[in-house]
Amino acid sequence: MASSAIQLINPKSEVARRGQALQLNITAAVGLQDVLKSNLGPKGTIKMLVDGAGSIKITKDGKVLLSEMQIQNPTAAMIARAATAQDEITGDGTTSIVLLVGELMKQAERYISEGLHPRIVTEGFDLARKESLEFLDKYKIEKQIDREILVSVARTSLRTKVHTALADKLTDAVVDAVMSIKRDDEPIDLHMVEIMKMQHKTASDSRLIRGLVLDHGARHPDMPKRVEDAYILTLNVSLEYEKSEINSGFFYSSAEQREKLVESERKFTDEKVRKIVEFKKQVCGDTKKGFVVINQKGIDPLSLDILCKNGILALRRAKRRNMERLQLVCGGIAQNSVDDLTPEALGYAGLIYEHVLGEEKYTFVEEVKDPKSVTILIKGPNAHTITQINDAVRDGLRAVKNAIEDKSVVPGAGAFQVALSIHLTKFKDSVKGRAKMGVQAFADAMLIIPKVLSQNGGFDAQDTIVALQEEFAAGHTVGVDLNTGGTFDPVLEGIFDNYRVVRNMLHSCSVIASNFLLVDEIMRAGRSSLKNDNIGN
Amino acid sequence: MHEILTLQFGHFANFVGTHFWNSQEAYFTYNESLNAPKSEIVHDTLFRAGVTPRGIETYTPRLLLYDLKGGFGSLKKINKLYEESPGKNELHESNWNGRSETHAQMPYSKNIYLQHLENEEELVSTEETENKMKIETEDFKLDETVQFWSDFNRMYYHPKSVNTMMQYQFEDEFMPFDIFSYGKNAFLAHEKELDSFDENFRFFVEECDAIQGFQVYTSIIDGFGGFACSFLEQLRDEYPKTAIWSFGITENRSWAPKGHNSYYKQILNIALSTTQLTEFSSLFNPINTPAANQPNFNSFYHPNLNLPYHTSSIVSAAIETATLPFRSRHNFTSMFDLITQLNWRGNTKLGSLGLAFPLPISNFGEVDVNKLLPTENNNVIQDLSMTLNGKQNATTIYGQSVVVRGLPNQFEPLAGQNPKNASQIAAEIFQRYESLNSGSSSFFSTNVTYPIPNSFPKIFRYLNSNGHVDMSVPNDKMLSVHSVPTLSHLTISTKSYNFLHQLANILQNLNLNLHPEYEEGDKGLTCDEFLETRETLWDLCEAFEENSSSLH
Repeated sequence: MASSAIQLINPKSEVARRGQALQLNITAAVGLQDVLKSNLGPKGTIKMLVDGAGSIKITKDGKVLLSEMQIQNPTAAMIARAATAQDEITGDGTTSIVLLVGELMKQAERYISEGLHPRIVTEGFDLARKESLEFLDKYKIEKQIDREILVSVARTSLRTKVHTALADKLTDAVVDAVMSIKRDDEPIDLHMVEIMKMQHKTASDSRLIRGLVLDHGARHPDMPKRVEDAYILTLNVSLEYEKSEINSGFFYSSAEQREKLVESERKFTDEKVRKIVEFKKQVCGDTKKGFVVINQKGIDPLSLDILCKNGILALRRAKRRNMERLQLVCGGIAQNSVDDLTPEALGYAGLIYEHVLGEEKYTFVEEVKDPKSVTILIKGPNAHTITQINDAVRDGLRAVKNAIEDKSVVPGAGAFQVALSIHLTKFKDSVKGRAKMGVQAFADAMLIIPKVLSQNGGFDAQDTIVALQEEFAAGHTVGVDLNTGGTFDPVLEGIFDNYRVVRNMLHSCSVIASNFLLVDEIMRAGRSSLKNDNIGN
Repeated sequence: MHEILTLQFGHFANFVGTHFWNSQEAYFTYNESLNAPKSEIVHDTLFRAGVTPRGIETYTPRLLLYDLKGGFGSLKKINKLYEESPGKNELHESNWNGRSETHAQMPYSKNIYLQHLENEEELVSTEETENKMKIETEDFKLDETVQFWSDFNRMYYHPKSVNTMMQYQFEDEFMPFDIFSYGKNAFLAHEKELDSFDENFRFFVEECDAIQGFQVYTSIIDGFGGFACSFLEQLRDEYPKTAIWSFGITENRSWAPKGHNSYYKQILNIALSTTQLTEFSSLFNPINTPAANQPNFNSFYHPNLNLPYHTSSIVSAAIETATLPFRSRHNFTSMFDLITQLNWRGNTKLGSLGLAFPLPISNFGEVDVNKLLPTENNNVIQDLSMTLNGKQNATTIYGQSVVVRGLPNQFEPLAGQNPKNASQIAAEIFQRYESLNSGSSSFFSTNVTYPIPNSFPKIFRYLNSNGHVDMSVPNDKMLSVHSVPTLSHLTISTKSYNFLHQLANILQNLNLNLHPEYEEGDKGLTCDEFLETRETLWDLCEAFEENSSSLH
């Protein structure tokens, strides 16, 4: 009756009920699964997306793919949204969630078509999810997180995004970057790793810089392009001639008066510049030490000129975040005023130099002692290559951070899912009533991960699953060996996933799938009347 | 140098922007000779010289534009100038050893006009443009083929200018971008992902030596208002004193029926945008495109009010004309000075914009100056300011700025009389505007006329090619008007009271609990913020109330 009531209110609406609604949702979830399936793992397929205007985007990242695609189906769009939300929290796992959601729905469908009520299935999912999370806590490997294990984690993540040689190169950069910014007993702030992109040369020229790279240079032609052994003054002070409200056209009675006001304003700015120059003389004296000003606010041409004449290299409009980074890279304290400058406020760098590429200028601040903020310089011949590496590096950084904060990792290559599936099948026997069918559906669905990994490697999924289950029964930790299609021990191979990614994955996939299974009515309201004729005002 | 950075938020704002930039391009003269007189328009105000990675020199707008995924038509972020090797899409260097797949969307086909522009470009690079006359009379069928703003765009933009908001799709019924708070949340997500403020905005401002201000075109009826507010909040933080002139632009077509649930959402969006944009801007102009039932159409232009392509051209002409003093070589007035002069009371930051388009004047300089006054019946001023319940005339004008443009230095003489000249007519016009007793007045006249590039809709009647009134021009003929004399009238006046009062009133009776979408997300609207918005509106009302203070 409900549906006819809705149609009574809005005759344009379309309504799908019960079995039909469920079928629509399952079709959408499986459809989305099909799109992302080929992405998974280090043997997955890279996707080149060409939009209507002919712009291209190259990605292997499920999250990027989902946000680039124009998804028209509402169910698929909601799954995509929920799955990408996962990425926001943990930095990875979008593709796996979409695969698991699709598979959970597919497995559930078998039982539902035999007459099991969706609610019973979701009860089973619930039980299975709780058991899985407990199992995960036992299964994860808690050990000293040293550089070696971080390299394994980063490599596992990066090798699914870019080719092996590049992944291995980026792995060291990513691990060293996080280790540099990490401070004992403090949360890791990945913003302290600056990622600087340069359209130049090839991807393999990307590297870690133990210092800061700024995306701008001096705006005065005579300023030095290279400064050695230099003090760094980090400022957030406007060195621009700015008008005050009172100095507006309306209030001057004569041109002379206007001139006077302009002059006094100018003096105010010049005075600030003079203080910086004097401070420089005070700290540098007659030595050959360099002096560099990096300002978050503007510096106008006249001020630049004064600074230049006094041998100071000055950069204006630095990124806000660079104020914090500079303190961590060079030491010193960012100043909000030029009054009472003291030598303690100054940072230090052994080398500052400018690099120009077309209209883009870069300033490298290097040769610093023990930087607590670093830069990963990404190079590539074109925008889409740079974007692809950037996405990979971001995921890699997060994987390393997660591992440090989790203080544990989970064996990868599908090993956890195989173990979980077998565990749940045993657990099922302790579940009373028909909910055990839901648990079984959940257990079977987990195998989609090793299955797809194997398929993407060009192997027979069933062979792989059988081999995995046999090896597991023999008491080993086993994952899919993508070079042979057989099995291997991911722990020995150094293939690890993040604990929190797996945890979130288990949680999200069962919640999303349950929500869609319980939908027994889909209503589509007619196109809103928004687009009708003009409504006058 | 007095640079201006332009910010465009939303699809209709980009329609307006496209006309604006096309008209800027129409000013360009490609005269290489050093002795040639300098252009009266200082192009460097709005444009920057740059160079692409391949070493091509470029001259592109100082601009950031934002639109939803799918809202760009055939416009590419990385256009022909900036492509690594133009016309090729294959992978040059693969970062993947394994298999690859291509997913291509149906290419968005270029309309006749864009195809024509491409051909023209090739012609220019190969031979002289002999057949220019032929091209000008060609009918590009723009009225039928413009779907996106990029369909009539003539400009090459810098890749950093073009920003796609990935969170929402253009015209998506399932997840429409129709709530102010969605915009605030989307800004947060967009910046987290792409950092366009630090990466792109900074790129354009860092190179400016003495930026005079920012001009902002934004939609305010949907989520873009929230997006723009978040952007400007951050901008204000970096530039506490620089002039910001914001235009909140609404296409009349997009209004929901009054009383409808979505109508109240739109009102709430506009109310939130109005209070916040007023706070962060130096001057805020809420604009509504003309509605069919408005009487003020003169006999010289006949836009189709259902086409955003047409209505945006009017808004663009008004903004382009009103901001002309900021980029003029002679009689330059800075954005800061003009706004300070208009808003001399300090607390009246809402403006109204009107336009005489064309400024009806004959080849002999005959013009009915009385018809230019908005107070007169039968006037030719198109009022673009947003009102919610009928138009109201301003009784008290606090500040006004009149720009008269396109009067030739000397008109053709009428039999037996001396020819009229521009300064004479401008003086006559300004004298009439003096009679409005504005608290402050700024008058600007220039012979730079409003250029009509071939991307402009064919909406004029009874005008000759110079845009002068000529009743002998046949009505049915496709007119090739090259330029149009125009007058803009910007005021700060008690007229805004009506608009603000209506908003405040509706909010007074609005139950926020009926619109839970507004509370979603990290930047969701709290009940306190809602009440504060209402208070702010009442405060603004007070500042614009008739006799709220003694003016003279």
